[in-house]
Amino acid sequence: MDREILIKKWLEGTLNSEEKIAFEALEDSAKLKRISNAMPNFKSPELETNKIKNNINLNTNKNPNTMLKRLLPFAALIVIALGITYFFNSDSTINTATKIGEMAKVDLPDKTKVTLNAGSTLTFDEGSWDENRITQLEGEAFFNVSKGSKFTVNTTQGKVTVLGTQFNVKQRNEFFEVHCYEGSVEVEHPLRKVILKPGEYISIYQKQVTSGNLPIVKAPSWTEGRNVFRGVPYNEILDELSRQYDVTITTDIEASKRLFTGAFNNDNLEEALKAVTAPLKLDYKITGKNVIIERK
Amino acid sequence: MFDSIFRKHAENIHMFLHYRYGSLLNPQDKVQDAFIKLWQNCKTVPPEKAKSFLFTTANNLMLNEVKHQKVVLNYVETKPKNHTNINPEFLLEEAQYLEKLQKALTSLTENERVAFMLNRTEGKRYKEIAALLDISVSAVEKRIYSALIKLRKEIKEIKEI
Repeated sequence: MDREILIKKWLEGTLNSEEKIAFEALEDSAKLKRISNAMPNFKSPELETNKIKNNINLNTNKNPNTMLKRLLPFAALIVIALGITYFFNSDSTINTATKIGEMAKVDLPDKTKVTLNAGSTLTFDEGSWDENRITQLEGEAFFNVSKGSKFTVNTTQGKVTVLGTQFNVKQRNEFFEVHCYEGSVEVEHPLRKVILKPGEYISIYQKQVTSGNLPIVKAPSWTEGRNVFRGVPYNEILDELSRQYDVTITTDIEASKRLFTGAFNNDNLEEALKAVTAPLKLDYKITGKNVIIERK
Repeated sequence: MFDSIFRKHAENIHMFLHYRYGSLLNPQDKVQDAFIKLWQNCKTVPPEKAKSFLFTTANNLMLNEVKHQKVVLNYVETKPKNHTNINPEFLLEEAQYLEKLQKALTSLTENERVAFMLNRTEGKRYKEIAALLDISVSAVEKRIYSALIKLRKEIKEIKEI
C-alpha cells in the first residue's frame, strides 16, 4: 500500500490490523511515532479564564462603546435621577462558573470561602456586598461564611440565610438539598421553612421533603473528590457522574423513580461506574465519551 | 449571551493563537482584547458572526506584533515516572530531541502547525479542527500530513549537522 495513505490512516487512527503491519514495516515508522509521542509536551498553557473575564469586565465598564457615548447626556440624567444608589447598583456582579469535571474556590470580599462543584455557577454583586451579602447559586457549593451580617444564598428552588457558619447547598434540576456543618442555617422553600443545626440536612425532590441528622464532619466529601448520596433519585447520580467525568450517560431503566444511597470518587471512571451500578445489579458499557447503563 | 460566547470560544482562540504564533507574544492578552473589541462592537456584530469576528480580531492583533518576533513554542520536559532505573543518557537524549522538535516546529507554515498541534497535542479530532478553522476535513488531513512529513525531514537534517 502507498506510504502516504498508510501514514495518513495512521495519523487518523484508522489503520486496520493488516495495514498496521504494513505501517510498522515502513523504515521510519518508529521516527514518525516518536514525533507524535513527543507532541503532548508542547501543550499550550491553560488560559486563565477568570482573570481574563475580570479584566474584560473592568475594561468594558471603563470604555463605554460609541453608542453609549452618544447616549451619555441621557445617561447622566438617569444617574442624577437615581442618585447615589446608581453607583452601588451598577454592574459590578461577579460570576464564577465551573465546567464539567472542574471545581473552583471563590473568595468573597468578606473572606467568605466558597467551593464550587462541577457544572455550577455562583454570582454576587461586589458593589453592594458590604450592605447585602447575597449570592445566587446554580448547582452545588460549600460555603464557609465569615461572621457578620445576614448572608443569603438564592437558588431557583429556595433561599438559604445564615449569619456565620458552614453549609452545603445543592440545587440540581428538581433536586434541592441543604446540609449544615457549623452554626445554624435558615432554609426557605415554598414547601417548608426550617432552621438547621450542625449535622442536620434537608432535601427536597418532587415535593417530597426528607430531613435528618448526620455525624458532624468538617466539610462535604465532594470537596475532597468523593460524591456521597443519601436517598437521591438515580438520575441525579447519573447527572453528577456526567458532570464530573464529561461523559454522556444513557440508560433504559426508570432512573428518576429509584432512590440511591452510596458514593463514587472523581478519579476513576470505571471504579465510579462500578460503585453506582453494582448495588442496583446493573451493567455498564463505555465507548469513548458515551456510557450505557442497562439491566444485567 | 456574552458569557456563553466567551465560554465557547475563548479557549479555542487561545490555542489557535498559541500554536500559530508561539508563546512569546502573549496570546492570552490578545484573547482578552478581542473580547473587549467584541463587547464594544456588540451592536454591529450579530451573534452568528461572533466567532469569525473574534478569530479575525485576535489574529490581527497578533499580526501587528508578529513581524519582529520569532515563533517559540515552549515544551514541558517528559518527567520519568520512576527515577531509579532511568539512565541519564536517555534523559539527555530525550531533552535534545525535544529541542530539535521545537526548532523543527518553527519551519512549518502557520496553518500546518495549528492543525497538526490541535490534533497531536490537544487531541482534537479532524472534524472538530475543521469546524474550528472553517476548512474542510480533507484540508485538515492534508495539513496534518504535510506537517508530519516536514517535521520528519527537518529533524533528520538537524541531526546531520
